[in-house]
Amino acid sequence: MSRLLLGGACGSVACLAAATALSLAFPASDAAARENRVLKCKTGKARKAPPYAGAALVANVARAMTPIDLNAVQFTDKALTREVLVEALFARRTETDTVEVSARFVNCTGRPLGIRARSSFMDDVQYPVEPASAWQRVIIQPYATGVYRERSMKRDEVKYYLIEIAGE
Amino acid sequence: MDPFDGRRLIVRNSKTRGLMRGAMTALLVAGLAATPAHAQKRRKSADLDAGMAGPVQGVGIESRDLLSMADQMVRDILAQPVIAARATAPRVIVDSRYFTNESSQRINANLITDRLRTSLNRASDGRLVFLARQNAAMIEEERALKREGVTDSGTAGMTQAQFGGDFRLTGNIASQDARSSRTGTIQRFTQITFELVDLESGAIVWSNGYDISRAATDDVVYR
Repeated sequence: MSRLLLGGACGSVACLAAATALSLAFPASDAAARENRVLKCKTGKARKAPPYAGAALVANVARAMTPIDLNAVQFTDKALTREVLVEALFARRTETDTVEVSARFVNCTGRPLGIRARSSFMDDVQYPVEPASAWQRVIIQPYATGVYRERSMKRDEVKYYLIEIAGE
Repeated sequence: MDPFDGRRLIVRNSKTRGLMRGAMTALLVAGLAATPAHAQKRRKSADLDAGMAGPVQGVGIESRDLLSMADQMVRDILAQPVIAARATAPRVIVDSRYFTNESSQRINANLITDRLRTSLNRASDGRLVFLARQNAAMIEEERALKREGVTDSGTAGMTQAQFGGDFRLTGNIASQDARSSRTGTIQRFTQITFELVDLESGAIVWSNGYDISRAATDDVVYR
């Protein structure tokens, strides 16, 4: 089983968190949570967070575009950055050595939200090893979480992934 | 008969033709005015992204669903160790023979099974072997020609028999419709199930499903 080249936590508009999740130990967080409270989001904090220095897709011409962080979630819709937060991001090898990625999103609005998500998988030189997955719809209820999950078709050659999300 | 009658008749016909022409033009203009604006503009065909919703949308299974469900099933099957991590690649039959449609939508089941088979075959990299059971007669015909000496044995040699299958895809499409008599809105829930059955034991070694729930005021015809 080869090791995924996964990055650490980050927080730009394009990128939120990336984590290896090969262990299933829980609780995942020690953050205190109080009962009987409706969720509140500060999406501005996520948008203003500094980029992380992990692998990224960059334009051939330097600084011609915003780098697209790999092993991360890329928002393709500006309005969506004010409505959705990435709460957690996971990647693991399956028993057949394909890669399964999963992202848990939070709907920060007071209405049901439909988003679309797809995944791309790349090798160690960021070459796409397979076509991007088909867009999947994820419906998230107000102030609730929704989970997106996708698997690669290729096995050991997958080293990076990218999840793109878009509004409907 | 007065020969001038004919002339008068021609004159009258000419007037009638003029009146009729005017009436036809008025009807044409009225018809165009009554035609929706988008229908007047849309004269050329347009290439579409099959993975996205197109301009004609209903409540049934559409191209984006076919692509999405096949993609999800392929990725899920390849993550199952009982199928995709065997020492010897299992032989799988994927066709529409046992893929039934009990839904209210008319659909060609080959659209689903053909895409699933071709996508799986391309992605599996030898982890699975696919059998063309739907073409068994064609294969038998060629085998007979080789054994009768009409043709040589080919480059791959001959086998005792055609390959037997280890797993076969089965599935079903079912739907439930609801219609509001007040607003005319149609709502349909469609459930597509997929299963791989062990052809020796009968065990179901893999299952998955794809659900669609849609509502629309405009009904479209799928054919």
